[in-house]
Amino acid sequence: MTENGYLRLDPLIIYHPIYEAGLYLAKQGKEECLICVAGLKQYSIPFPSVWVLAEEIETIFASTIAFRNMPKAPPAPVHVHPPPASGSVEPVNDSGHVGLAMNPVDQQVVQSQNMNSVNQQDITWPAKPTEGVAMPMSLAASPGNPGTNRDFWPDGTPVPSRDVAWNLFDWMQ
Amino acid sequence: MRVPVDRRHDAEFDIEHPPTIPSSQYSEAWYAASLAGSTLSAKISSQLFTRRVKPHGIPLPCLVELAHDLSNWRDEYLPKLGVPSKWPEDWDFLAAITACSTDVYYHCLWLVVMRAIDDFGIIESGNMEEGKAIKERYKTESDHGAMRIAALVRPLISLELMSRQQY
Repeated sequence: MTENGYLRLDPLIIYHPIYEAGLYLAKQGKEECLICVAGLKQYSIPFPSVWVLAEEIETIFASTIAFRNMPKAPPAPVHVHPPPASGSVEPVNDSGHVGLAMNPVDQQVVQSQNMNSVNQQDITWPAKPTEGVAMPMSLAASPGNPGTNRDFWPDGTPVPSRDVAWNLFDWMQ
Repeated sequence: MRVPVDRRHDAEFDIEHPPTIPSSQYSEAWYAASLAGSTLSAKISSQLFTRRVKPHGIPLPCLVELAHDLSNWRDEYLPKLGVPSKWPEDWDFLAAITACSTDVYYHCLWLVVMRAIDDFGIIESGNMEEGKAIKERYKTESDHGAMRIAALVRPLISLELMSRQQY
């Protein structure tokens, strides 16, 4: 077998198949992906941006191995809260602040925010709103109430970014 | 548009016409293979990576057709152009890289389709068995392809780097 660093002379022809293969092997948790990592690292001597791909494969491989070696956790206890009676007093959370989202509009907001991070099937209804995610009614945007949206003025024109505003301010001075 | 050639200019600077590349059987096969391969890649990109596929999944007949085309390509060109089972000792840089890249790109196509299947899913309209079978086929092919790419890349890596990686 000829072990000569031909890949060092290769003008970036086959880096993407190597990356693709490394990704696949790393997802499977096979050790052969380290060959691909070595190949990409050799590529990164003349083409430094390839290093990122090698590191990505290494991270995925490490996480796969860690996930495989992880001892099986006992099933997480499921907290089931009785659904709040409609028209009841607004619930008070631990810190004593009134106004955590429990009215239907805010539940929609909370659920739509949770859907981005958590799988929808894992959530037992009602979704337990985490602190900081839930917005008080006055800030939440709803069809009738545009709320305090910092990206747009109430008439729909986009708010200029902070840098633009500062430049304008400097110019006005 | 044809650009008029200034003969005087050519004569002044002693520029010769490019030598015609002798067309051998190998180069003809290589051009045909690359043309067929690029057609296949265009087909993959236009059928799998579109806006319609992303929310709904990949239609099953499309995958069957792609598998058929990929197998055809392999049967036709890979024995001629790919890396043989025993690495020839007389290969220089150009021969090694050409054969390796042809081989590696073919196996990469299976991997790309497999990744698309993992990401978007398959529309199995009624026939679950066929969908399962085609997915199994893609899985075995891409297992083999990934190992093959790793095996082909290994001799191309220099020794120092391999020893540093302890591999």
